[in-house]
Amino acid sequence: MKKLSDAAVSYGSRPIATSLVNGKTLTLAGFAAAIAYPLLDGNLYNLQLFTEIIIISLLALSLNILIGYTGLVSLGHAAFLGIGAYASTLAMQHVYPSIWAGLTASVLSAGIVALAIGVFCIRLSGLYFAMITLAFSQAFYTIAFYWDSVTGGDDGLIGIPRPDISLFGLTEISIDGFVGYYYFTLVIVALAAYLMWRILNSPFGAILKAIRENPERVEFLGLPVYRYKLAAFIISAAFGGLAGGLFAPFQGFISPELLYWTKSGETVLMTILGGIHSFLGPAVGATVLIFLRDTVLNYTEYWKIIVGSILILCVLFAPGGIVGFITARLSEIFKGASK
Amino acid sequence: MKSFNSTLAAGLVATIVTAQPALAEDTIKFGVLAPLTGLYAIVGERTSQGVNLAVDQINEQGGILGHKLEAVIRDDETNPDTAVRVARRLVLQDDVFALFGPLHGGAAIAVLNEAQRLKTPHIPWAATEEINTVNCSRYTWRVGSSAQQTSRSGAVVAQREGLKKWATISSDFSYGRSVVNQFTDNLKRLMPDAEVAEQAWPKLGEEDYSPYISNIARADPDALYIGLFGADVVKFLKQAKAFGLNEQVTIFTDFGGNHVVLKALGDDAPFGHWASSRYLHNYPDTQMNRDFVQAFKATYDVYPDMAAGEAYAAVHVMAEAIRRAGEPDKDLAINALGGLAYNAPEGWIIMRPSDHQGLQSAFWGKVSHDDAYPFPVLSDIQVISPIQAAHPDEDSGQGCRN
Repeated sequence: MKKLSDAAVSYGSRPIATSLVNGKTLTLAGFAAAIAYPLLDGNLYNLQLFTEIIIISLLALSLNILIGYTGLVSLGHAAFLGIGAYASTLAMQHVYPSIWAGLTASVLSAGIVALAIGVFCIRLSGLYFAMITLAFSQAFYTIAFYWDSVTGGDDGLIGIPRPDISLFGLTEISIDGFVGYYYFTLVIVALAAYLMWRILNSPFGAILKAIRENPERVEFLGLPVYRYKLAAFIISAAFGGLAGGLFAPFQGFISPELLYWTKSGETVLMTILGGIHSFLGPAVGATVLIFLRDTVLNYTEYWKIIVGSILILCVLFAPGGIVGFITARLSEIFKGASK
Repeated sequence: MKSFNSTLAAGLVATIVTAQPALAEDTIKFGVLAPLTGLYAIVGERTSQGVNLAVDQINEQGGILGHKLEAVIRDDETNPDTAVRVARRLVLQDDVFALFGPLHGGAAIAVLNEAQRLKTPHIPWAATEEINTVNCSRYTWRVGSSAQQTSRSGAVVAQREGLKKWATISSDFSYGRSVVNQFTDNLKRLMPDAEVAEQAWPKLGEEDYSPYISNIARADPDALYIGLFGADVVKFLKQAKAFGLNEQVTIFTDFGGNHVVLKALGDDAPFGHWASSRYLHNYPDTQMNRDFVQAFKATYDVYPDMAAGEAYAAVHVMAEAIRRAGEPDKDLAINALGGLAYNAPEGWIIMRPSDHQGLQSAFWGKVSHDDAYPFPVLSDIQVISPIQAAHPDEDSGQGCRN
């Protein structure tokens, strides 16, 4: 926890909120580029890779509500990705074949599960919180692995549809193709990220940051720290569940691997790699990690060695993550100019 | 006339000259998924060798309809998620004509799903029965034997041997359970008075089998059916031999006749006991198999195992389907696969249209020494025809109407 605060001081002399404000133009430019992209490059492989990056970015952003904002390191975040994915699949296959039903089920189920296990997890902090989230996620992995009749066991579920979406009953839009699903994902994730940003920059978000820096002090102010932490846990899980609800139709199949602890670890890695002290840092981390894996995998099956080495260098020389590193260098350059 | 002839000659020369670069441009690519790293890396290596040998032979004989054939082999990390990602890359980026693999059952089903979405022919390595029962798809056809065929034929041998009281052991995951359940199912069908006294389900990758072995010994069965796969079966058989189980019960090892397993076991192999393999380098003694084994040994300096034999046959079957289709068109090739018969090293394989399964004989034999080889082999081979062992036609094919 000490380390976290130190990093916050060195890179976060400006509050977290301003890093997005400063990057507002950049963010909008990025969004415009994302909209224009399918028109410029017809390569379907790259398009589906970007779709995955967008979905996993949402997962990393949602984890950062806990790590970066509330100061809770969860090692079980993939459980919510998995719960969201299974819930959306089961809802679409057995209840109602609509993507909205799927996404609603994914958000609700992840949120409800987070409420149920959060009651136990939130009482703990630091290493113990990390351990109990890991334990719970492994429990859910085991359920997905053995509950054959519902989850399909270790083979998982296949044939996950991407049903057409209806716009106010006027027209049907197909999201079955690579281009359609890319745009659908882009819109949903952009809306979710904006909502998340609003939540984190509200008074509620400010209290989470205060809890991260000094929970005792917040307690003395008369605020119920436990409830705030639980709320953060549930919100984080709900967004993680949404990522799962988008991922299942994207991949077309799901298996218990989605809930395995290595997936949680990978998400923590993305978040830290990108930078926990900026709102979009984790998304940058997700983008870099998925691109690296994809590029290196094409040359060697031992891609983990190369990606691992790059990560070690990042952690050693850019402890604030990629975004932290860049903003720190930039602020050094513009120090004189801004005064 | 003379001028006609010279025009013809010039035309022929021109055709030959222009045909060369056209041949290189219109390469047909096969995308192969195999476990090149991790626990099953050795299987992945043999798979790649089987594929490459078949591709080289096809190219030496002029390719497929004049097109050069090329294999693009990628690691699937024995992980469904990676497998789908790699399959997508192979089709969208590398523009492969067909997908092959993976070995892992769940990963193969995930790739089956993706192949359907990408409308690309697919031949899996995995033997899981779900591939051509509940999940059967237009684009996926299995050339290799199915798991249920091997284990159901084990029950045929059990009946011939008159073994009634059984114990079973298999890993606790879908493939492992399916292998044993198919065996006991057929056993009870063939011998209604047969009894299953003990069933052990260790986890996949278990290191210490001693508690399971002593439980099996305590149940005092006539015979033991082993559904363990890969490295697990080697570990189990070594520990069972040390315990002395081989003297107490007759052992049937589903995967144990595979060359890599027998080679790894060496002197610890269960000599005199029954084992099965979907491909054997010493049986059947046909020209086809002799040529294959000789070419494989000459190229790689090892004997072909099950993975190599099945991969080699799969590449040839897909090539034959393209030839029958008359042009490299994915949908026409799929149409040509139904009913296709191919004389593989392991014998004739007939692609059954109702469930997309390649029908072929199953082999069970006794583990024994043979002076011709420096490792244990199977002898006294029992050939069980697909009529006796394959999944009944009317039960399957639920998803294969499309």
